[in-house]
Formats: sequence, C-alpha cells, structure tokens
Amino acid sequence: MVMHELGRVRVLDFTWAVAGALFTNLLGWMGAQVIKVESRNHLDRQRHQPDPISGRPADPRFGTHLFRSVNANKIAVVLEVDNSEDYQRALRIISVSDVVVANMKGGALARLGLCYEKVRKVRPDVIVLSSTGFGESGPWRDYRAEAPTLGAICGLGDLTGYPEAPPGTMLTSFDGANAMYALVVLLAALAHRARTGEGCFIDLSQAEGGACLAGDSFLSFLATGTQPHRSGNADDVWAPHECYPCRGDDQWVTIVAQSEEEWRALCEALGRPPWTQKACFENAALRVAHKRQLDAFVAKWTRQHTAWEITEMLQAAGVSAMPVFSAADVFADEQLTHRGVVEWTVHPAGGVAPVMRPPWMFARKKWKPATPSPTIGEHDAFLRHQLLGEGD
Amino acid sequence: MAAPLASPETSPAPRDGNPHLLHGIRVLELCSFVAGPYCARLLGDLGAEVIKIEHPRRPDEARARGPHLEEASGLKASAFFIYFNVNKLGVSLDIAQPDGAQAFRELVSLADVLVEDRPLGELDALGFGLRDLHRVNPALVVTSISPFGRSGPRAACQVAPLAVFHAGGEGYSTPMGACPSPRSAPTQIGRFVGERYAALCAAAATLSAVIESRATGEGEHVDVSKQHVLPFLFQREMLYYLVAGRFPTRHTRPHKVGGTLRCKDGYICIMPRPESWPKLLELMGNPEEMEPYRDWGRARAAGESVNRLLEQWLGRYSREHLFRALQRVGLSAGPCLSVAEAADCEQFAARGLFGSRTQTGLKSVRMPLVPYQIGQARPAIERAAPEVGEHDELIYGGLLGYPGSRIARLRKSVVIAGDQNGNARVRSRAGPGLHLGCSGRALHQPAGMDGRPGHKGGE
Repeated sequence: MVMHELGRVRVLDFTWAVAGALFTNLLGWMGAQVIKVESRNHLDRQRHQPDPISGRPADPRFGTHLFRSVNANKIAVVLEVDNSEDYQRALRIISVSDVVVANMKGGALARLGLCYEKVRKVRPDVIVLSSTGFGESGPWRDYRAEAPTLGAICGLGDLTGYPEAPPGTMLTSFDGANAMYALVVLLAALAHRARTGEGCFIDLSQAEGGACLAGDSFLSFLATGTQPHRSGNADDVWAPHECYPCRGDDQWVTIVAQSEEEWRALCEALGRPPWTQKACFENAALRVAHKRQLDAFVAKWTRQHTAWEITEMLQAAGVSAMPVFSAADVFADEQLTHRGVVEWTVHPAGGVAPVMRPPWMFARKKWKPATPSPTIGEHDAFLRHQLLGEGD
Repeated sequence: MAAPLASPETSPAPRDGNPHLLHGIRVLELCSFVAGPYCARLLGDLGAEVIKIEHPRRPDEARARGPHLEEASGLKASAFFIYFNVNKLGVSLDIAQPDGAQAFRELVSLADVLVEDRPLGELDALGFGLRDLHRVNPALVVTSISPFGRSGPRAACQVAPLAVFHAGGEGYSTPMGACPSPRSAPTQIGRFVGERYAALCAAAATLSAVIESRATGEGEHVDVSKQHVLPFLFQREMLYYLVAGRFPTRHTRPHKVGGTLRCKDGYICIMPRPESWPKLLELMGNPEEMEPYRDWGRARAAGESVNRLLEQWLGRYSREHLFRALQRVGLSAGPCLSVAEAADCEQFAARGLFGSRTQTGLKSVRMPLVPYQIGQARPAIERAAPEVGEHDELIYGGLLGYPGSRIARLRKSVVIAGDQNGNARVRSRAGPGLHLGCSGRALHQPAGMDGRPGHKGGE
C-alpha cells in the first residue's frame, strides 16, 4: 500500500548525484511520481562513472550501483531545456506538476529559465526547491562544491578525526543529510500548500546544512569564545566512551558508561580488577581527564575477547556495548535484515541491483517493491503522449 | 476525528515574513538528548507548535551538559540543550502518576504528533501503547525514535549514541585516510552527528505521515531506527560493498588524487576531475615534475606521489589564496576551516546564517538554525529553549483549562514542577522577541465536538 496524498504529487526532478537525487528518491518511495529530467549533453555523472568491479565506465543505460539505488522509483525523460522546444515542454509539464527540484550550481536554474518567478506563471502554486553548494545568493554563489569541500568549509571536517592527524573528509552521508534537510522543508511546503493553496521557493545551501550538523559547536563558540577540536570518539562528559580493539583482524567494540551506575556495572563485569579502583577513575570527570590511561586498561581486556562476546557480557550487565560494524556486518545483521535494509530490483536488460530502503517503518503501510532505476529517456513516450497529449 | 486545527482567530499569522509552513500543527515531544529533541525542533523551526514534556525531577539529560551560559537572572542554561530545544514550549509532567496520565491523555487528544524515544515497552506499561493512544486520538502520528527500531531481535536494546553510530557501518571507515597510526580506532563524525541524521529522517517521516493523516483522518506509527539511518545515508559505500565485495577502510584515502591536502596555513580540500585536471596543472605553471601525470588516468594510478607533488605547490599558498585561485578556474575546492573560522566566513554572513538571535535574559544567542531560505525569509528563533515547566501555566491553564487550584495540586504532588505550596519554581520568562502566541493566551483553543473553537472544560 502506498501513501495516498503523496501519491498525488508529481515532481519534476532536475537533481543528480546524492545531495539532490536521494531526496527525490524518498519522494518516490512515498508514492510521488518523480520525473527525472536528463540531458544527453550533460549526463548525470553517476550514469557513467567507473564500475567498481571492472574499473570501466558504467553502462549509461543503467548507471553505477549508486545511481541504481538512488534513482529507483523514478521515471526518466530527456529534455534539453536549453533548446526552446524542450523548454516549452518543461513548462507544460510544470503546469501539471506540483514540485520542481534541482541541485545545480547557484544561478543555474535561473539561467535555464526555470527560476521560481518564471515557473509560477505556468503553475501558481508550484513549490520550487533549489539545493546548491552555497545558496542562490552571496559572494560564493557561483563556486563549485561537493561533499568533501563543503565538509571542510562548514567546520565539520575539522571536528572529525584525530587531533594529531588531518581533518576528516566528509563523504556520502553528508550529502545524505543535506538531502534530508531538503526533504523536511519540502514536505512542510506540501503541508502548507494543502492548507493554503500556496506554493513557495526554497533556497537551500548545502554548506549551511553542514554548519547546522555542527550547530551546537557554533553556538558554544559564539557564546563562549571557546571552540571544540577534533578528539576522535572522546566525550566531554562520559568515559569510557571509545572503540576498543578486540580479538580478530581489525575488530572493535564500542563501550560507553553513561552514568556512575554503568561504570560500576562495567567494573563488576570485568571482575573488579585493581585498576578499576584507582583514584583517577573514581568519577566521570576524572575518567575523562585520564582517558588515555583508562582506555589502555580497557583495551588490554577487550583484546582478549571477540566483539560479540564483550557485547553480550556487558549488555547483560547493563553497560552500553556494541560491535563496530563493517559493511559486511551491516548486511549480515539480523536486526537490519528484519528492517529490510536492502531490496534487490531487476531490470530486464540491466539485471539485478541493490536498492536501500528508507530507514523507517510504518504500522499501517508497507513499502511497495521498488521499481528499478530508469534508462535514459525510458519514459519519453509516456511524457509526450500521456502527460502532454502530443501526437505521434 | 481529525486533530483540531488552530483557528485563524486565535493563532497569529506568520510574523516578519517568517514562513510558518507547519502553522497549525501541534507536536508533543517526550524525548531526551539529541535525536528526539532535534526532530521536534526541526518541526518547530517551520512553525509547528512544539510542546516539550519533561519529568519534573528527571528532565532532558542534555541540560546537564556544558558549557553552561549564565543569564542575567542568574539562571544557567546549557548551550548544548539550547541548540536542540529552541522554538519549543516546555511543560513538566510525570505521566506515571494518575493525574499526570490524565493531563497527558488530554494533551494527546489535542495533538497531531507525538515524538517519543522512551525505552521499549515503557509507554505500553503506562497505558500509552499505540492502541491506547489511537483510541484517544485516531489521527495521531506517533513517531518512535530508538537505537534499533521497535521490532525485531534487538528492539529492546538501549545503547549509547556512539555505540549506535558505530553499528551503522560508516564509523568503521572514519576518518578515511586521516589516521595517525595503522592501529587507530574507528571514530565518529563530529559529535553525535548520527543522532542528528536520525532526527532528520524522523522529521521527514513524521511529516509524510502528517500529510496523510490530515487527508485521511488516520494516524500512524512511524518507527525510526537510528542504526538503520546510517547505512541509508552512507549508501554509496554500502552499495559498493554489495556489488564489489569491498569496503573502504580508515587507512585508505577516499580520493586517489586530491582530497584533503596540506597547504601553507592548514589544509585545503581539492577535488580535481578529468575535465579540470589540465586547468590545475596550468595554474601550477605546468611544472616539469607533473608532466608524467598530465594524463588523468596516470595521475590516478600514481595516487599518493601525485598528491605529494601537489602539496609541494600547495605548501606555498594560504587556504584563502588557493580557494579563490582554484574556484576562479572552475575547480571544486574548499578550505578546511575551524568552527571559529567558519563562523566568520563571508558567505554565511551574506546569507544571514547566524542571524538567529534571541534576547532571553541571556546575552543574545547566535546559532545556525536552518540551511535554507523560504522566499526571502529565513526561519528564525522565535522561542528560547524553555526552562523545565516554563509554560505549565500556559498549557495546563490556557490550553487544558485547569483552574489555578488544580494546577497548584499538581505541583504539590509533584506531577508537575513546583514547590510544596503549589507555586511554580521557575517564573515564565518574558522579554522582547519571545513569541507566546496571542499575547500570552493559549496558542490555539481546542475545537469542541462540533468542530468550532471552544474552551476545553476544566474542573
């Protein structure tokens, strides 16, 4: 069963890659009709980046593994909107659509003649969302951007990793988070429109999204003048709060004591070895201050056991513990399998492809099986004949 | 019966062009720390009426985290708590006591959404399981945020945010290419960023269910797993594993050529591509050492040696200089900025990202609230993060219609915050910029049975 109201929503989707395409992917899961617009002259990079196994460019009909997941549940048409005939087509589709979305460079949507002022002439209650690196205004509007560079600029990279090593590099989940910021405000705009009949223009900056992900650090700095620095897994309040090495190759377990009660439970579970009675570990503040020492003692113990042994032992004692999962562990995990973390689509010509399911479940509805990502222009005929009523 | 809407007479129109897209939607929040509170705040930022419910003696654990900012009144507020709890009203309530349960039931009957993150089974045991809630309000959307989800083999497992994050797959390869030693442990991203990822997904899922509920009158249970959010957002790398059997480790650089590299005054992230590679070489003055790597394929194959050569050139220039020079020739680049430096960046200033300000007795609080503008306006802080029970009078008196005597009784029996004499412990804050709906009256009157605005009977 699909969503009733969202099933009535038609989206003209100019997005590509993850920061844009992932949120239209979720609209597709929710039942919206997502029309992915592509240009043969500027093909979505994810259509032809190298295939992970062969190293050769992916077959653009089907795209990379990422393309095939993120563009499931969408239909695809080719429109070269810098050509006047296709541009008029785009306007006609917009006149029967609800939402127009894009994640181009700042200013690009306007250059294509698809800015909010233009499109609301053909559809007064349209919702337009433009997700760009820096926003549709400001001195950096025309600058190029992607997750790693934005993660650097927004301060999140500097907060990630080890103090004695370079700042961390933000990757796909950064794009994913920006896709979610877009989805939240877009759904709010749909709710608003259902109540008032009014559309709007949403101008989202992914750099600002990154700053929001580190927002409390900005608040603290602006209020106190003190800023945090990257410190691995360390926490200001709780200790132990770390990943510890276990028996096996590159196996780790996360252990956290969130209270004195949990700390005492941890000591009991370890058999109250003498080191747990040291004065420097007496309370959380002291343990945080002596983190290096603490971690060395804990690691000595964890190295003797597997991550799951430790997890079972400590959870039974009421202490937070969980193995550190690799991708292999994620897909082998019973709990995530129960949640339906991945689904496999089949394209008659393209074969099987994994698609990630949304990370929430409903009581009343089940996700419909995903439709495989479309080939280039696969739904051109549908667009021209059914939607636009063009003859042959 | 559809949840009652705010009536136009009692609810103010959006002020100063601040778009209130979620005007008329009432959210109850029974959450602590980051994920749940942030999810609720995301809705409050967009104009929903968010009522945060805290136990009078065991409030949100984020309040205990520093740094604490001192107000003129002498009150201290946690900056960490503030960030996730602006744009909300706050009430105190012990829903485990019969009088508290009654008040909660009444609030539920007037709400569109309940966001909760209680341990599995706790609400059921108190008589507030899903069926009970939907009996009170069939249109209610209940969003549960839990470490692993509300069903399945690990549904009852409660673990700390760091443990959930590292069960999501991305931690295993973080930080990529930035480990001090081969034996370095996997790390988290930033601080509690996984919690924020979960909040974002929960807010989106909630809104999708609210849109449905408004149209059909049928509520829903939205079950968000904090663990499940992670591979979903990190899906490029996860899918790569499924099709290629390989997963990046902490010890491989994420990008063969480019990425985060050293320059004169820190680090810069540069992302050359086949099209822009020649432009970069030209900018470098086409040095002889780079000639063998003019071909992009060869450059990628050489990887680290090329990066070392790049760093020799980058090392002569500052981040600012390189950022401008590289962007000018169409190369994707970004300086690695600290929070202090990013707070100062001209683009954020031009966009008014830190324009959110609130005078609450604190020196004004500035923070990045939302990453977008709607029309010409940016959602702003319209309510300070509440003290525990700050709006007890407004909600219990104004919204539920309890007379003063009943409220005093609830205080005396510690169902809500107060002292033994039945007085509030904390005075409601007043001050400029604090938006209390229509000058202190309840935000909206609940609809009577005939659907017209009416006052809910008290005792």
